[in-house]
Amino acid sequence: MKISAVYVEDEVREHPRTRAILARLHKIPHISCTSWSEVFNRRSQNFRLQKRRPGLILAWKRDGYVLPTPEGYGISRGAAGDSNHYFSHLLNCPYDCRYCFLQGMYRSAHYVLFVNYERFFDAVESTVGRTGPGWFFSGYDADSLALERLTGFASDALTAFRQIEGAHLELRTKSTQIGSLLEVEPFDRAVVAWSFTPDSVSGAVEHGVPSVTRRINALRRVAERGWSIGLRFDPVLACDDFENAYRDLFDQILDAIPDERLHSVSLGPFRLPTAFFRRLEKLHPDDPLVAGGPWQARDGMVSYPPELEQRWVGFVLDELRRRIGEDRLFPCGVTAATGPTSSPIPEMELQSQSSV
Amino acid sequence: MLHVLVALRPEAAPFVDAWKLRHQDEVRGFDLWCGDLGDLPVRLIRTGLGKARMAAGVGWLAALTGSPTIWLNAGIAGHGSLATGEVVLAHRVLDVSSGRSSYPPLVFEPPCETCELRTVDVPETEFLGGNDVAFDMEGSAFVEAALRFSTAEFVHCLKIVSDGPDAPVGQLDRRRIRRLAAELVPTAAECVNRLRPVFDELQSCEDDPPDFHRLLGLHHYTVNDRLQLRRLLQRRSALAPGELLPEDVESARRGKDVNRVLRTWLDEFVSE
Repeated sequence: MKISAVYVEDEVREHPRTRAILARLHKIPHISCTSWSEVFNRRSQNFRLQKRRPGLILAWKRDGYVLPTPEGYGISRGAAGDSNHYFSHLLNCPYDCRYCFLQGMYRSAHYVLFVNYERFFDAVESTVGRTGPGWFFSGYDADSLALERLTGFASDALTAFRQIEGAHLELRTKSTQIGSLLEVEPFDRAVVAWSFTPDSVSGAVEHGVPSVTRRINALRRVAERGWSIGLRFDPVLACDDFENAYRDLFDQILDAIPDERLHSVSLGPFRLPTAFFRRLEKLHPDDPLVAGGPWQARDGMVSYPPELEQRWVGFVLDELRRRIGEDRLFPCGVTAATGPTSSPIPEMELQSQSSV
Repeated sequence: MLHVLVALRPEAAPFVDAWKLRHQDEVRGFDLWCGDLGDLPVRLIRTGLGKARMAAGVGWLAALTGSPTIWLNAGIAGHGSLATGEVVLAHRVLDVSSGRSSYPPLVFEPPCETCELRTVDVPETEFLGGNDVAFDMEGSAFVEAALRFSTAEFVHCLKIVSDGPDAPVGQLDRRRIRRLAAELVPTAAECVNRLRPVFDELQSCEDDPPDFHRLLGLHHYTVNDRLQLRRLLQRRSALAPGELLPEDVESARRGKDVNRVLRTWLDEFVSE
């Protein structure tokens, strides 16, 4: 991970987390700024070029600590109620997945780390007090674990959530940075969810991401430690020998997880807001995934044509249903176009898949 | 293309000598020198002192070219603690009068120290504001104007310390400025060298795909059809590099038909 510089909001300069991170990154420039928005997402910035050597911005989050997920995005069933929220202590991700909505949403590839973690945890507690038990997703605008050695966020989040009755935490990741999970006792209200695409797809479009094998090894160790595991196949992407590629992937992963440790599996088709996709085309006109499609714009979103989406997502749904049953299966962003499924989940629409 | 902007003639002279740039006598408005740094075309202008002249120089130079450009403001600066002759790349450029800041993204490993650059309206003599601050009289105007024509990754200010608490600005003369600027030239070249792979990456995205201009010459295209043709040919480059275009493209009678044939061909290519 190459970080070019650390930008420090004046307000957080003396924060203990800031000081620890600056001490760790002492060889690169430390640059003062009044507000993170002075640096991040200003006009005339190029996400693709910045991705080569992004900066790290240390900032204070001032509002919007916990937000409701878009309708249809969630894994709530049963004890956790129907409340689904997400929070973003970090913006942007060290990985460079070509399908990721972040590159369409932001002009900057800099990471923004909000160091006032406690405000997020306070907001979680008050949300549970207000709306009852629910899920809180980390990893919507970033990978939950990839920068853990620098941020220590997951470690702090686990400590905090352990104390908040009714608060269920999902850490979503493609990382193998599992040290903070192995060091502490698991608890029921936390799930560590890994995202996957078949090996051939991952190698081609998930740049910088640990291989499927390394991720499976990581999740095996985390499952053995006693944590509940989530699996995320979102987006489902076309590839050569699609059916065998996904079957092999499911075989490899499910072999590594004791059934009682598998908490939930979610999946969804590729979908990006059209404006994001157009930006992606400008950034990566030469990329086979972007150029290859076959993409179709409908209702403000770019996705596969309905008949292909139905075939591919339907196949993945059926395979998963056959292997794990209905109860732990959560299709996300599966629209009417995807066709009838026997899933108990109603038809759903989602702005875009998570970044991870 | 590389655009180098300096305020003073003695700042320009070492670049002109080292890179063998030629003065463009027929041009009016600014002193302009042209040449090459390796295979990169270079334009250098002397704008004169101050923000207004610098902003005008950026606009004038931008009007000469539409292609992607690396923009470099090179020159002398005051500094509160660094010794004269130290070279610094600006990682923050603060316009003192407006309070606005820019943060040039460091997408390459800087070949020198980096620091904040504050642009002031009169030469700085107090050097207040911390140890890590340089002062000049053009940088913020340069950045603000250049960002209208370029992505921020290619807009940088490179300065050599010329004055400070122990070396008053009043002692600077043309000969000394020229000598300092000569020390700046190798670092400027190294900055450009390190930016080059990033720059080439951008150019590869903006280059027109093969056959684009040839096909444009064969038929009339509306603006929208032209954009579609470009995108279709980009898709062809990504999916089928080196593949010959289908014969129907050559025999199509209108631009719209070319696009239709290309789209069908690419969709079939993908579905295979």
